[in-house]
Amino acid sequence: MNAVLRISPLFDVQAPLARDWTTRERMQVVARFGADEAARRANAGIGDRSFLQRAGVKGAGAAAWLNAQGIDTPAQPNSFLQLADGTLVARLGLTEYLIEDAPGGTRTAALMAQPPGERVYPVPRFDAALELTGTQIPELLRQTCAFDFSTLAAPALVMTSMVGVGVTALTLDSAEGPVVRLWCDGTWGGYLWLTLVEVAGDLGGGAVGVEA
Amino acid sequence: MKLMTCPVNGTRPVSEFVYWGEIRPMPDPDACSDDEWAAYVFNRNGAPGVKKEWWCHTPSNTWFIAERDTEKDFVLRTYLYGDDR
Repeated sequence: MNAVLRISPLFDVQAPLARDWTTRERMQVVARFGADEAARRANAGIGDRSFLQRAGVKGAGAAAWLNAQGIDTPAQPNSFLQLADGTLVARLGLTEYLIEDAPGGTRTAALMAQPPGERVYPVPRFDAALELTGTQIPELLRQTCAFDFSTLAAPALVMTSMVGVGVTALTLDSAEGPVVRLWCDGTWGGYLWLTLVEVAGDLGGGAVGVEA
Repeated sequence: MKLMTCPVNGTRPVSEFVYWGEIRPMPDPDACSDDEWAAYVFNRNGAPGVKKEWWCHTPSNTWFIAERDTEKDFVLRTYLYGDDR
């Protein structure tokens, strides 16, 4: 039951650079891009997290419906929660939510199997999802985005424009240091990924696979 | 860099926004004259001055109203539709 059923929005731009492939959540993803991935990841790693399952809901009844499914919701727009199992719950507007599973998570599948409640509208999500790691990420963000991430009190969510692409960005703390997660429209994902990889290359970083 | 303040997302570079024109209340098509209707459909006010305009913060798709002095290109204030109090 590990057949490839999904394709990353970044597939076309990653394929020429990929060395090994693997399958995550039934999506074909790049395992490794080549040697020195650990060093790239420590400096400015651009990883693909599009394989994670995600779901969107909006509507006046969305928050109450999510709460009834056992998913806490952030109190303020432009903020997010990370549940105990790693699931991200982002509030994108007054009544719009994005839920993204942790690797291997099943919450969104369970959510989408439920009939939506009254005034709850499912939002299909086909985002390109990136993960930026490493010590040079603040410099990468300064070069690619006019929003000053240093003013952001972590953990926070912000919607801004990066290399001309509208993105939803949030910062997470991890054992390796701060991690920036990005979501953008899938059709823009290849351009965003390629541009970030090029800028990261000048900073000693670059593309990293899921097994880096 | 020009800046614009979104009522929801805060101050951002103007490159994150799109301009959607002056707010132009529609006359009642059943009650107005043909001249009034033609002026509404075809004419735009190009005279500089303080105008209420539609703007949108594109990353979050937040539509709001900006009161802008088009002569000095100075934004007096911005607010969400319905918050004009």
